[in-house]
Amino acid sequence: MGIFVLLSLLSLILIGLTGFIKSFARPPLIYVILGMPGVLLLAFFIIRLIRGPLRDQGWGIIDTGIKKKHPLRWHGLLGYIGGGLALLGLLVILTGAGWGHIFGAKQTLTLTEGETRQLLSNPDDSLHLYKFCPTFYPQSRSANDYKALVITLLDSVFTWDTVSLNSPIKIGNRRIYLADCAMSKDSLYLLFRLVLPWGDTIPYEFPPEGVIDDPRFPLIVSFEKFHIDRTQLWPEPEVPEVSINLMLPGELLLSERLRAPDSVSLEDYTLFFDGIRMRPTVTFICLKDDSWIIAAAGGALLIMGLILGFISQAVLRFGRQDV
Amino acid sequence: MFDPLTAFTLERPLLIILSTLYGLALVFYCPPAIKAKRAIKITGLALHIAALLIHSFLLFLRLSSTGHAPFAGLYETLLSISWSTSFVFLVLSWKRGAFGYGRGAALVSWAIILACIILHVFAYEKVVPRYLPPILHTSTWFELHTAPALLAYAFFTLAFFAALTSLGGKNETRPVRRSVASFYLWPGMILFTASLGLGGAASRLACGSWWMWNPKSAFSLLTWGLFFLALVSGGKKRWAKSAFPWLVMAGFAAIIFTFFFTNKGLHDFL
Repeated sequence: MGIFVLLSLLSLILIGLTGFIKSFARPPLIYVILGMPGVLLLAFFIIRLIRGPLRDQGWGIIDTGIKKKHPLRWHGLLGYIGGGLALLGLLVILTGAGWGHIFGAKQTLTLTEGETRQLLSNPDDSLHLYKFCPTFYPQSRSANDYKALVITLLDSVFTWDTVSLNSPIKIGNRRIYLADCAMSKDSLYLLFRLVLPWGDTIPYEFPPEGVIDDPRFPLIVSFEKFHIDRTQLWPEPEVPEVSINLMLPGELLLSERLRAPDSVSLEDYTLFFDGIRMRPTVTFICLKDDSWIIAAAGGALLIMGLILGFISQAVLRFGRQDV
Repeated sequence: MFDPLTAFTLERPLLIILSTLYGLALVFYCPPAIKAKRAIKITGLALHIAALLIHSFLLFLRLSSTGHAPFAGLYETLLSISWSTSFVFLVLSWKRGAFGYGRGAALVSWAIILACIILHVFAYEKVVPRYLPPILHTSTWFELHTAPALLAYAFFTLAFFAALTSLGGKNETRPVRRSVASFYLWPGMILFTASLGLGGAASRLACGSWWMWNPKSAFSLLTWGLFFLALVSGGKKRWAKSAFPWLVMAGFAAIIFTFFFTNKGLHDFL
């Protein structure tokens, strides 16, 4: 009988080693390796169930020296149930792993702000990254949390949602996780602020190739050239510089280079160049997977089995000199 | 109660006091064969208890200077493992045959505290309080997953000492020592299994998968397999009885390897 347990556990150890060496296991390998201990455990579990009541103890570790078989007492029964539950738990966990690999679906999506992508190969479902915002620890550059404002189109329903770390969006059995983020230095927005003669302020956020053409501003602002001055050493911030043209249709009024936070004034209008905002790129994981329920049930059974086994052992052996 | 800077400044003198107390406890646990042997051992126990109380205060200071449980980074986890080893020993020292492993517990705690002092002196950047990475900062599962793992490590350490000593000594004391090893192994396995499960829950909440193939998870599975094999091995067969201590020691070696050499991927904050 012990040979079944031995082979099952050796297979589990093999999984561990495979995972360690390769840091991941390819799907076919998963099916084979997960299947093997599963089948062995199932065989062991069935044999144990059939022969169980004939045993005089549940878990066996140390020889008690008692030769005579006697009926199963309550602590022996506890050990028998505990051992069975632990093995069943292992089997259920392995089943959960297999279930997840066979019936689950996973997709990793990398979206830049403003981008939309299809979800889980379903042409009717999509994810749009509207805005991304990292928050920081007070008085530090270390990120504290990330939040992404997204629009999902799932089952023909549009929804605004906020996804943050450890807080995925849940829609039915589908979940969308925020996995990672990066700031793209090649994809950014220029930040402007226009102060109108009567005191109002209008903020603008544009890609470098953009043009401000706002009816509240009698002029058109175009961006001829943009670059970031990277000559300054860390930790000084890199200084963005933009060449702008202020014009009336057909007439160039002013052409100037602004280094953030410079400003340019014309006819009581003042245009501030506040700087830039890197366009964030966010990695999402979209998942359709119910196997965690099976795995959690297996884990609970396994722990219950171990606890019952411990109680049974404590009653039977611990503290006795004759073990 | 303490501002973070004061709390951090107090750490080094407290570590020196701790190393002295653990060292003294270790010496008192190994008295020569004289009449007052028992009294000397009890003095060792008293020193060990005093060390544990000061150690608890040190961990509290760390908590107040970092704002999170002391489980982030090598220095903090070492401090916690050292504390939990002594804590587990002292709580279960009533068990018949377990008191002798006070030497093992005091030795481990003392050696770890010494390592922490060395880190303070030669690798200062490793001991300064630091922020948790966002993925851990925003998760309530981080502490829930780590605390049982560190306690399980303590149980496994004591089981290792009991298994090691069960290889030697008189024939009649060997089963008792194996019994003590088994006694430590059971709660260790329960806690370790719970920790793996809670880690799975944390991983699922963070990135969707309840099992991630990264070196630490894979080697933890290997460790779990070895200890489970130790639990289910045995019975009446002679080979199984002799395999038990070796399996426990192999599991302990796997723990050491997992703790120091697999901190990549999800666990690179260590």
